[in-house]
Amino acid sequence: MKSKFTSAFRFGWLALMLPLLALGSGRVQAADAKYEAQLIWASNDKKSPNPKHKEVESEMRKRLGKLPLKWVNYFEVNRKSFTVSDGGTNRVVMSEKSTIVVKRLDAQRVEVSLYGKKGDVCTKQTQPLPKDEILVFGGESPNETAWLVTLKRTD
Amino acid sequence: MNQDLQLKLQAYLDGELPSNEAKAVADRVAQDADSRALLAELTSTCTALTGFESTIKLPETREFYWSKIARDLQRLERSVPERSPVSLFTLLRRLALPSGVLIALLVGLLLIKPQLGFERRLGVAETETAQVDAGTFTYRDFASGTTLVWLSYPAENEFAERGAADTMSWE
Repeated sequence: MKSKFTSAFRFGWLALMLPLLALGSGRVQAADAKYEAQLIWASNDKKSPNPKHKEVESEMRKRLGKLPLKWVNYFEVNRKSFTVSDGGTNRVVMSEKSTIVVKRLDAQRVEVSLYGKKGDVCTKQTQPLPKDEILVFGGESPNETAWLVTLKRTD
Repeated sequence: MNQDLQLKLQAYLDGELPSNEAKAVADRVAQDADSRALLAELTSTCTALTGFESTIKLPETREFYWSKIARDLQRLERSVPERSPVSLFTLLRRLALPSGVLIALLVGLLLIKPQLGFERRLGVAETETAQVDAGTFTYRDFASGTTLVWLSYPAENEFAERGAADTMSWE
């Protein structure tokens, strides 16, 4: 009986400690989160008029293809990698006319504000953004094209 | 002397033979010295055993003595190992151990829940869009973990000049 008691106690102790250790490691990782933002031009044209633009990577292309967007080609205009500390905020200028501000509310949740040309907040989105999930802001542009600003947590 | 004759001598001594066979065995004993010797030995042995049995006296009647043995046998057949009474402390300890382990697992699960990404599936309830303009809607593809916030008003009002070539700030 004593050995059973000891085994059960050890099992319970492990069951308690392992999640704590996992949580601890998660907290260490959560201290500085890495993000990647992209400014994307969506079009039905096969090529962008700007030779500096390149097609988005296949994974991003696949993710955008699952959204209810009518465009078939997506070109990367700009890409920024940055970090945000736990509870911190980072402002990332994607172009002269679009800026995002990423604020980490906790380990998972972020508040992302999109600023337009005049420096006004166009929209503010608050949601969990764990690794590999993507938040996409978008709007129509002239000539039946669209702009997209994507935000992805990379670690 | 064969075994058949020996058995007949034993039966003769016990008075178990029919009269004709008993007479034949008596004739044989009268004529055969070996048969006489064996009968004498059997007789003396029987006498000795009878005398020995008569010295053992049961404290109760024969029927009662054997009924006690029969009851004991039946009791042994029916007997099931009896459980000793469980103390309150033992009972609490038995309940406390699995309960403690279960609680520890639940606490652990709650602690690591954010790491497991449950919010990914339940995230729609935690998603909040605060739009400056009412013409904004949100779409979420749960399978790919992609959220789209679409600003439906003309983008050139905020992001671009009126000219088509200046839709986005490419340069």
